[in-house]
Amino acid sequence: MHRKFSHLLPVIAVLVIALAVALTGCKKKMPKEAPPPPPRVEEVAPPPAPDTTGQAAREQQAAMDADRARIVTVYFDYDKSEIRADQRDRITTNAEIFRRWTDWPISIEGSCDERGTVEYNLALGERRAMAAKQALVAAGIEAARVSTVSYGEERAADPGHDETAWAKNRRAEFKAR
Amino acid sequence: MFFGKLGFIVHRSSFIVLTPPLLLLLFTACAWAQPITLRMETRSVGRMEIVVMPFRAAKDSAFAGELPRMLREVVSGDLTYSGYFNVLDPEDLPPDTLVQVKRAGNKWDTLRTFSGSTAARVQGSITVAWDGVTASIAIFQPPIKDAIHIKDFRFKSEDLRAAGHEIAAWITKMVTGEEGGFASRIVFVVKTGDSKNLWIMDWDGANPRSLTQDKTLNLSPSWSPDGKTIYFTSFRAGNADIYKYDLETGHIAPFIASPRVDSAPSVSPDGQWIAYCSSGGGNPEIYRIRADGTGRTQLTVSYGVDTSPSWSSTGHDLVFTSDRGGTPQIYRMDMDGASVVRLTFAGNYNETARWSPRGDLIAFASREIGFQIFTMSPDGSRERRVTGEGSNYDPSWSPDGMKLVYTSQTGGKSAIWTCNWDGSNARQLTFGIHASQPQWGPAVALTDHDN
Repeated sequence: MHRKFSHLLPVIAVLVIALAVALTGCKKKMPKEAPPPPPRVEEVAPPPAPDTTGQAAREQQAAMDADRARIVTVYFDYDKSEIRADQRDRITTNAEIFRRWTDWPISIEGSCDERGTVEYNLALGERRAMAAKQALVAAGIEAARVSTVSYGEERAADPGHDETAWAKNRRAEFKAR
Repeated sequence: MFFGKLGFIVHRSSFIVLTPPLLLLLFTACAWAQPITLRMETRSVGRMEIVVMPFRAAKDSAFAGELPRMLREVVSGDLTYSGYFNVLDPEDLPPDTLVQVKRAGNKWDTLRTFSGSTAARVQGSITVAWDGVTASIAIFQPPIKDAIHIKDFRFKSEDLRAAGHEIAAWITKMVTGEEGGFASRIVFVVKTGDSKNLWIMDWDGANPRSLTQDKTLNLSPSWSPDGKTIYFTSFRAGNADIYKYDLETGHIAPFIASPRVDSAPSVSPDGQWIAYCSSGGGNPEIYRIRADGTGRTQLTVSYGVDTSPSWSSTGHDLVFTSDRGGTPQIYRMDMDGASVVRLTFAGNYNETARWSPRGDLIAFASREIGFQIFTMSPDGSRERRVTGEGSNYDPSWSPDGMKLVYTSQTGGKSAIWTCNWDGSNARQLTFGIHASQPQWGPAVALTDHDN
């Protein structure tokens, strides 16, 4: 055994030296100037690594909740169902949100203040919900996504009996279901 | 044999001779009954005087206790409440005069002649037996000594109030020719928390009880003319749909259900058609449909809201609310939606029109600050204010068209009130509950009786 090993010793030595030369030579072959910058193309994100911590899902949910909380109610004048000029921005805000989350079905709930009759207020609430839907559709949301409900005077947001309360009850609420 | 001044019959042999004068007197007595006709002027005719004598237990009755007195209270109260009568207190009558008359030989009869009052007189004789109560009721019209009407009413003692209502109805019919509104019931809406449910009570406010007990909104009830079904608006499926409630079984079934608003049902007087409001066509309009769901016909076509339909007593016309002119006003049309006529021009909010069963008046609510109830003729003329204090709306007529029930609101609470057609004799019917939207239904017979 001892004899065979001692025969190989010069071979190993040669291999080691050759490896060292190759490595050194590689180093020497690298250019001296800075490498050119990589070409400017849109960065393609690498495929996500398997999300073992649930982080991305939570972020998605948080973004959805934040947007859902930004949905605004549209208010109306006494006995009227037209969208007021000062309410059109609210329609636009809601339209933006709904365009982003395209798989949310949308329900618009129309309401009235308590001062009319039950039946006329059911109809007026319906007119308000329909007017809000038309405005939303005009802002780019598909009509098929939007359903309307009227609660008449039955679902007051503010139970008070003065103009402040009444103004808050004459409304169309947008719900993402 | 005795001949009184009035040909009073005592002896059989004088029967044939004395009958004609007696019949003549009976006809005269009947002529004194004054039926209320359709003419507006006769809605103001003076009330008939009547007195209800204390009811007594018959000689062969088992122990009757308070029953005669309680029955008399219901009858007397109903006659007062009806608006047809001036009900006198027996204590206020001059005492009857006792007359002694001599018969053959030394026999004397003591006969009672009535006092000078010509008020109609009701007497009741109550017999309590193991299987129920019999009230034998007699109506007298002085100076005729014989009762002009007699009827027996049989009932169980627990149905005493219902029997009292029927007796009062019979008396009213016999004396005035009118049906009155007795033994009818009123359906209405009660709000508790966020829910609204249907309740029912007797015409005088007695026995209020709930029909539905849902955690949803049940609104706008309407009776079928046979008193067996109530149509109403319900949110039980998430939005306004029309349902039917069966009063015998308590069963609730859908009638008109769609993703849009379906509401304000109103049943025609012959029970064939239901008019209602639906936004299924894109805008709240009035339709009619048969009770079996066939024959749906659109009646209104307008840019505005059309709702709250109500049938005329003939079933040929409807009144309804439309804001096609800019504000909610009362309109009239025929049952095909033609001949549309605007009826109200005063004020900027007129709603809930209801056509009287008599055909001569339409009641409606007009908003000033709160609401008040008005009546008008079917052509829109002769508006007349009915209520004055608080906020009053949702008028509904009694079956005889002489009384109204309505919602009256002061502060945040609302209750059902009633009054005569001209606003007199207003009184509260519900207490301690938040009540609204009353509808006065037809009379229902609840007891057994002869003929």
